[in-house]
Amino acid sequence: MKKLTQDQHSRYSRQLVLPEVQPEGQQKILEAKVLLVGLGGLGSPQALYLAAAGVGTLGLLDGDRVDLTNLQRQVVHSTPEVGSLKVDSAERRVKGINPEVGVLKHPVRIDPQNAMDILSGYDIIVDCTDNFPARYLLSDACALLKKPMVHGAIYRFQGQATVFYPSQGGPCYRCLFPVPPPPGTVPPAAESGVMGVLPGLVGMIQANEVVKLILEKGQPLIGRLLLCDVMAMTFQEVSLKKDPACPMCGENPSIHTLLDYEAFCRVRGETSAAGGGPR
Amino acid sequence: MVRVCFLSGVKEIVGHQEIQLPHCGELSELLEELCNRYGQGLRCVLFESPGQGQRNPWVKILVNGDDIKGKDPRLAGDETIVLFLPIAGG
Repeated sequence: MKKLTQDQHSRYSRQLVLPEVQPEGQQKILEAKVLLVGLGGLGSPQALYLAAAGVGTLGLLDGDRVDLTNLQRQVVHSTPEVGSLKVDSAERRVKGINPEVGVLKHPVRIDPQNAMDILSGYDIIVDCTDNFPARYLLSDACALLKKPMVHGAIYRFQGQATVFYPSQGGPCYRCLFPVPPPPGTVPPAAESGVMGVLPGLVGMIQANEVVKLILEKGQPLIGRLLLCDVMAMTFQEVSLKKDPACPMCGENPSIHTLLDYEAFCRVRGETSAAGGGPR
Repeated sequence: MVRVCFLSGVKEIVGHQEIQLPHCGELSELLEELCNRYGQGLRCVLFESPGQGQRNPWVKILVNGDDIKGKDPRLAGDETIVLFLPIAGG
């Protein structure tokens, strides 16, 4: 095992003392490759905390530029960065927190043509997207690549989080939502609104799952969906089972390659920059 | 008493998170009772064609933690039902 440097011993001292971490666990964190798909409300706080924890390679994927309307919740970005590519803005912030983190930037929208190549370079994929086509795409790609997908989603004051890891016996996104809702069923944040603290909280739940997966400690949310209502401050956990009839990860899968997810979700020209199409 | 929890996307329509009500019978009867109580907003979320009885397949309905996936179980009267929609904000 590679020895930690004196600086690393100092930097990570507060987590090294944890029985679940120790130098062996820290080495796993330093060697981990984690991809954040989306640098919006969910991805922003995760970039900060995963960098602080020392994730060795942090992939940042987002095709968008920082906008003033982002800053009430997308905390990795700042006012001077308005107009910058989100991947550049986030990289600067990440490097400011922890220069040792290797940052790989993907200033693109995730789509069926680039997903397999990009995702294959990482151990853990974090779904921080904001539209259904991207979520189905990521789930399918992760299932095909046998990688875990840490899922989070928000709407007004409600949040959801789970880990999809079908190659480890858990369900995939299609097991949970085999049929996407029609466009407009659940409006986007610009129409429905969101307080920044909600993606902050759900993003931290996701980041915590990433850490647990890296360390192979604790009980990841595989097969469990956490639903939170931050107005009532209640959390509910529901059990998720792999659907034996799932076309992606079931007993007789019929999906073996990525599809046209915008058509699947019946959306054209309504998706954001982390996945699928123009805002 | 059956406990019904309204979560992501459904809570915003009914206006609160939970209700308890006496009910025995099929789940479909409970859903009809809820639609009568909460109106067209909930009815449009739950059913493809209001009045036709076909449930929208993207609505998640859990009975005691189990995804009922389009089935219409008979309720004993002491279940916890959870209703929520897929959400995609990020």
